[in-house]
Amino acid sequence: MGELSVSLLRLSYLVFLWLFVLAALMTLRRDVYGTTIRRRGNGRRPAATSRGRSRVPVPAEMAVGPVVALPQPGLPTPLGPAASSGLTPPHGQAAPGRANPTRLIVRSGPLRGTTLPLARSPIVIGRSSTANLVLDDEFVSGRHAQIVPRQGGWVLEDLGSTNGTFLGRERVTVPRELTVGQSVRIGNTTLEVAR
Amino acid sequence: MATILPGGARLGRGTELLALLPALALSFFAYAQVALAVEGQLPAQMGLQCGGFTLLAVAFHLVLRWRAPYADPVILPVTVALNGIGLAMIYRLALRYEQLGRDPGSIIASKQMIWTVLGVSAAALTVFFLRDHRLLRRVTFLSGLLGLIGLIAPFLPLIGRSINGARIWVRIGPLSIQPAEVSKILFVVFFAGYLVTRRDTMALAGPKILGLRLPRLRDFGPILVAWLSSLGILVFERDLGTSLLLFGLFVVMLYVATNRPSWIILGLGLFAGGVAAAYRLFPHVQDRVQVWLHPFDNALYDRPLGGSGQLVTGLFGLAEGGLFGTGWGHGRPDLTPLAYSDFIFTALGEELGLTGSVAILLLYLILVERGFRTAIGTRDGFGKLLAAGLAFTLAFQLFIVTGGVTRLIPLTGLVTPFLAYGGSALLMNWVVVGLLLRISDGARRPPPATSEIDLAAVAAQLAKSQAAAGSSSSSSPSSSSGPSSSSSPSPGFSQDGLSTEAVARP
Repeated sequence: MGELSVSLLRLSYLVFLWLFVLAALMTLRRDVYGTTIRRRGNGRRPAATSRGRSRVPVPAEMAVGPVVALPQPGLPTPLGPAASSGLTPPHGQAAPGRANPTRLIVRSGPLRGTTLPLARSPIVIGRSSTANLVLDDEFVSGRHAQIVPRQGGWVLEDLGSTNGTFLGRERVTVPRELTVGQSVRIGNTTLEVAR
Repeated sequence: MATILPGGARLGRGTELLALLPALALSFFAYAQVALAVEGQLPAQMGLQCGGFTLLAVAFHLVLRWRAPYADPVILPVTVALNGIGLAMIYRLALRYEQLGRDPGSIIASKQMIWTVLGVSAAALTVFFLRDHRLLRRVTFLSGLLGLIGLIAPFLPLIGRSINGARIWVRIGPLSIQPAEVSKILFVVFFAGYLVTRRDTMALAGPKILGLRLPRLRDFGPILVAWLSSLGILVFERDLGTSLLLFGLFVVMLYVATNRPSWIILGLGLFAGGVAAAYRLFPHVQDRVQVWLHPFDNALYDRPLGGSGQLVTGLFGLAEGGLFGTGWGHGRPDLTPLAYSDFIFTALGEELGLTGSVAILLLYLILVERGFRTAIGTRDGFGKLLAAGLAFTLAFQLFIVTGGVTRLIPLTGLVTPFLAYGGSALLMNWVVVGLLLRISDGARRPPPATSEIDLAAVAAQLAKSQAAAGSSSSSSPSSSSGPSSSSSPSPGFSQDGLSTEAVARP
């Protein structure tokens, strides 16, 4: 064998070896970062609640999106920046309140960033470890509030909590239906009802 | 704004299969290059051997698909690549030994191949039969006992054998095995099981001196036993490597279990004391240290036994390799004694250069990282300790032997995992991989959903059990399965199509 082909074989083996190492590392990349951070876009969701603390920059068109009034006049205006910055309707149509909520997003508080799917079963929120969403917060009662499915929608119900459950700015005394974009405050935690 | 989602569970079996292909190709490419360089042609049986190795790896992959679908996808390809590279180097040395007519001849390549087959099979059987690693916790004390027996087995009459001055062998029929390799895994199991129940008292009780929480005297027992047994190996078996490995394993597992740095400090103190005593008492330890400190001393270099000749030849080999190596089959790694076992790293360093040997070290790093990642991910304390101990065993073996041949630490004989020639070690390291894969399957498997109870399934269970109860109470089993017995389930459940199963059963 010629000198050239020997060198080529020699170096190609090293290149191959390193490519294999890098390929193995690439499959581990997901592990190193642990969680996927998905950028919420498409103008389908309300703008950020805790924008100041967010590390991901908010796209300009989302931040200054048109403010749309909530469809149900009977419901109070939701509290917090999420509500005050309004909702960005998808392609300027289909008012967001009409869609059924499919999940809860924790906007502030110790569990910020958690999403909770609204599937079929009721969700109990409280400090007790038996609750579905356990909030480690002194201002939260053991079984504080629950969100139950009713007639295709979801209803928020206070379970006799000490410090109260707030839908928007208003304290919940009777079961209230939830619509997309509303925010629920329990203790230090703000939950956003999302589609 | 972004939503943070936890990393979803991925099976990763496709990734594994995809990564297995380059891992196998690496081995075959090396094999072909060796054959071309040394013999000038490809061996006739190459297709058969490569096909067999591929079949073996893919069979293990299929076992994982079947029995451990969530197992870590990187462990198997990396291990296969390391084993394949080791096989290629051993084959390369075997060819050379055959040409020169020197010991141990070409037998090492075929032997290592057989042990590879046995090793992969053992790992596959581990994954296949051990459905849950927590079952091992039941045999905590049994494995501790067996581990101790394994350590003293070479001294038993009839079966004990002394080869190359080290009495670490047991001969059973035609097979010579090193029982200490088995003891290694058994001790990991024992310590994981022992520490998972005792770690709270070990971590919290005890006096505090100089900011260090010292353990109580009675908690001090196990580490003392470990220290004594590893000293015993050192004294009676003259096996520095295994003694160091066992002691290091115990100290690290204590640290992992308790999160107390005092264990490490105590361990290092005991280690220093033991080493100082051994240095004074045993001439072979003194030799090793002298060789480490002054390898280029002429008198030491020329000494036939216990001299620095082997170490220095290995270093010359590394120097010859340089950055990019001489290429497979173009170096002279055979000049180093035991290049196929203890000094395989310098042999690889000679032919693949610094670039290649760093890549190989990175492969080990990935393997060990996966082991520790498994330990983090798994949900039970026993599994955490087991995975951490097994991963540490691999890492520490590599450190001791690679550090030894590169003159970072005094040379002690241990096996480079997966690369070096040595049947028992290869077999047992594959079992370690099998165990890690089993634990990682449990670690990466998504927890069973508890928030939603599938009422339909519960109803089905109830209906079934009631139907079964009804059928067992009736007189004859053939007549029991009629509608009469299936109508017995509670009326609440009889509606939802689940009792139809009981009805439909003829």
